Amino acid sequence: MTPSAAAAASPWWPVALAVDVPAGVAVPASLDGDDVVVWRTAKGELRIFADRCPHRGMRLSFGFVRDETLVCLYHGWRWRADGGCALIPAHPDLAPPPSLCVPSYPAAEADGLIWMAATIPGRPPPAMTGCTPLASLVVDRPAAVIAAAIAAAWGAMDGVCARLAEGDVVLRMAIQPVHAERTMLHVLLAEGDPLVAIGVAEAWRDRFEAAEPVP
Amino acid sequence: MSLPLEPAVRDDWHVLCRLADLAAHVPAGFRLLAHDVWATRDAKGAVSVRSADGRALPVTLAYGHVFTSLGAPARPLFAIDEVAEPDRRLATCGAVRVRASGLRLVENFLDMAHFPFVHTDILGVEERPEVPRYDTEIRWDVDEVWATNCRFWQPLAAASSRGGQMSEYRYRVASPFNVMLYKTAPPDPARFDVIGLSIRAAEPDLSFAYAFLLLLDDATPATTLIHFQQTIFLQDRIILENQRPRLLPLSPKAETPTRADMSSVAYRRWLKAKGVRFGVFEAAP
Repeated sequence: MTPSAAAAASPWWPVALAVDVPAGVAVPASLDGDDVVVWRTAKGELRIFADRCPHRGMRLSFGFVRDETLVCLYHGWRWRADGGCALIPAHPDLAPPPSLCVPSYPAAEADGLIWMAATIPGRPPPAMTGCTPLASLVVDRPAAVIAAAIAAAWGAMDGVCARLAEGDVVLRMAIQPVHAERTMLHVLLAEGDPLVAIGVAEAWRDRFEAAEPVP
Repeated sequence: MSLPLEPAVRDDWHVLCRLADLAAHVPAGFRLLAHDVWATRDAKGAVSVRSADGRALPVTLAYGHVFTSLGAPARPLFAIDEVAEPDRRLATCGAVRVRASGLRLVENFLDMAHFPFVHTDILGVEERPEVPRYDTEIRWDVDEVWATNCRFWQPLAAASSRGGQMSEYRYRVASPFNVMLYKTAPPDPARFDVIGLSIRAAEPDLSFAYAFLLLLDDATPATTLIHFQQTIFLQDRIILENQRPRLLPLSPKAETPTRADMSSVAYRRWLKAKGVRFGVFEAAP
């Protein structure tokens, strides 16, 4: 199944391991070339925004979280979890208009993965019940090439998810198309020793990077 | 292959390098407006600039830099009267490479609201972020953009500062890629230091920024002055290389200005009226 066909089956895409985005932290991510910022308020509420401050285009992932807001590094404009603007420091007496807001995306956390959707999905993201998140691995190959390599080696993918058993290790992977030439593999451990499992996952990453293009 | 350049950019003066960067009789190549040009300095200090096809280009030497044009400038290089004052010092800061439109660099130079956040505890403090109302005008008679009556609280306004001051600024955009500011001089608050920023737009999204200072400060070593400006500019570069798009959008709806951005709004309107396209973001049709 190609990633675009997978999208029809599940509107959710993985963008990060939950452990990599603790409360009070903002990190960049890309999905199919769209740059987003994945962040949590100080209280731990998860949000995914377009990675661009509406004011002057600065990437919000360079900003910082203060209390329940994401603060742009350039001019300190503060964005609430609902996407609205809470403060323009250059004009502290001005109430930002309600129309001033950052585009946001549906976000969900399940079994240690953070998922993003383009529109509000009618169902929850795929379950990885009982798994432990291990690592996110970058592969400089298109997602379609990796999906084909996975299908050839392990059998058909379940949407954007795959399952691999090798020796005593059972891995789950969720596939994130970063942009046309780059894919992120989010690797979770279902069974086995974590250190052995990381070695298995990295060996597969190297094989994917050497995979032939899809004819 | 080169794109055809619009007259407002082709016929303008552009900085090429510092005069001191040219060794005698050694031609040096530069990228300017997506063209290759070559500059040579003779033993007497005279500079000639040629395009890749051998055409001799106009040259003006000023403020420690070499300026040239790919076309036929209708007027001389911008004048800064203060350069003639006997107690002024000139310091040149060298080139800083920035992966962004030169127009974004000019706009950042005009911006006061970022001081507390990007130049924290130097040009601004987070506790005093307010930008009081200032005046902006496009002076069509001289074809320049000015912002006047600008005020901002600065803890360390210049290398010569001994404490905080309410700095007064005047900004002047002399041409699309040449901008300068006049700022309260810490040693003599009745007069102004001049800081110029000239951009060599190598490609639409690749720029080389050349800053020069015309200061009343005669005590601070030149190295200290230059390091101060370089610190400021390297802080700005983090911003400039991470604005999206890298090119400057001129459509009023592309970004969201507020009152502190009046100078940026005037600058964009003026660029649009002049027909500037190099470094401008144009949405796909």
